Amino acid sequence: MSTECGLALCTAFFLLDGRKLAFGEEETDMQAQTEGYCEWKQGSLVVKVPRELGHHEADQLRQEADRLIDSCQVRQLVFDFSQTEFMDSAGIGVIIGRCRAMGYHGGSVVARNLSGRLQKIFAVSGLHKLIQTEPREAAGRKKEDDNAGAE
Amino acid sequence: MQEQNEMKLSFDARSVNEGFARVAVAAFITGLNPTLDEVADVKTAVSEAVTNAIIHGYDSEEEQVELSCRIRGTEVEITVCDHGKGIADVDKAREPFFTTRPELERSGMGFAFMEAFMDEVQVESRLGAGTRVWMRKKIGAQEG
Repeated sequence: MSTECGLALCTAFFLLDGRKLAFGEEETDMQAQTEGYCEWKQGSLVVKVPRELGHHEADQLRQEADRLIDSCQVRQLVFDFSQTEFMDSAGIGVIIGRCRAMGYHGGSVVARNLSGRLQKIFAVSGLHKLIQTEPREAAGRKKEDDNAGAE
Repeated sequence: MQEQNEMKLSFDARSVNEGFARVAVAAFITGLNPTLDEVADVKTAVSEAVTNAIIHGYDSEEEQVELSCRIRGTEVEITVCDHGKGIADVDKAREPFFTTRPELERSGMGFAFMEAFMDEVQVESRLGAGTRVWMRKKIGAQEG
């Protein structure tokens, strides 16, 4: 019950004040404005992985995800790779680190919308054995859905 | 085909240049008509080598990372050099999951990725002098 309340409270803060994700006191407005990788969806924390995830891009994403994992009872962490075209071993490090953080809280981790290339990266690193993965939907199917929406 | 082409770049050891380096090499090899997967393989390997030079080779962002790329026929050769700290034990450094900087949450898979995505990887390093990573890949090998 208290877990549910905590999660709801976190979600409420997040939704009410999207500009300022102020869970930690060290948070500044400057930082808040440049953030925005994470969002709550149906009780899961969804990390929208950027177009490229290398060493340079990893730090900010890591910091934002960790702040939310530490301050809220995240039961499921979802990495959404629908926009991602490039990832190297630095990205693998980010995911493994977050799996560890989620393990401390007893939550699960899923990687969604993996392109063929990303599936290869996951396979080379062995990450596909550690976490649940879901491939990206075929482009044809997505197009049909988009058209249906437009009509 | 006996085409030859070569380019050299030198840039600051700043993480923002990792993206620049991999895109520059990807653009340079387009003449070989690589598949999307081959371009991605080369970009990943370049990103790993350049990131290593920036994170492990140097402490200062103002030092220079040198990248050269040579096309010989259907093969591409890439060299990434730094004049930084050097690697104490290259064999150990090439082992998967080995990292000297766990505080940075490195996966320790940089060299494993270079080896997985290129046909050959050679590493020369001297403590206090720097590290040179040489990689080779045949483009067009995946066709058919």
